[in-house]
Amino acid sequence: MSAELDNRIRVFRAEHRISQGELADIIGVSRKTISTIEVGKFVPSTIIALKIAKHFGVPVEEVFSLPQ
Amino acid sequence: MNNKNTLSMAEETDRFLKRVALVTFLVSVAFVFRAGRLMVDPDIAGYLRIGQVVFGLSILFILLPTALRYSRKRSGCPKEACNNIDGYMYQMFQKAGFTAFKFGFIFFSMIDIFLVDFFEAYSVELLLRVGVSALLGAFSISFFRLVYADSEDELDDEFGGGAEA
Repeated sequence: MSAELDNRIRVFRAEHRISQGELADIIGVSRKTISTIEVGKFVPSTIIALKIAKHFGVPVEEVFSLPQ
Repeated sequence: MNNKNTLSMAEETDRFLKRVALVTFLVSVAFVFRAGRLMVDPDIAGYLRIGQVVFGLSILFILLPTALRYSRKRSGCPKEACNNIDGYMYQMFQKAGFTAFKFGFIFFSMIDIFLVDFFEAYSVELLLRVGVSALLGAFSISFFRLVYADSEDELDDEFGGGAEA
């Protein structure tokens, strides 16, 4: 993807003791989708971003942010 | 984590898309064989025909089981949960399609400018088979390049095991 988006998914996963595969199953996407979002290789859709934020119980901008 | 028998719909979709891309590449090679048969001696054309049949059978064996499993799983799945169009693999699939379109446009433009005399010496069939092969090849190679480039950066998974949903 050409656009860049910082994210703190790894931090939240660590706090919640949850693997990429488990998060993927909860969100309804594949593990590859989560892993590529996490390393910044893939910019997720708004729907996926909102689902991830909702799962961690935080506003979406706490998980995703534009690079400074 | 999921095993092979209990893949989620999203994982099943990813697997299916990868198989489709692989099969697209094999079809592309089969088209090259078919185009080659138009240009070589009948003896060599016989070998190319065998190659074409082998590729055809490979395509069936690779795609059929996955396609059946995918459609069976999809039939028992609510529509909103099965449309994985936001997923990484589906997006890369679309991106590869766009790349193939761009490649095709340039490819046919170049042929029209530089190689039209060469293809006129053979037939329109040869041009079509070479063109389709190039398009399918560009699609599949682009897809796998997108999906597997830098994939070692995506390693998981030290946080698993304590999931709360």
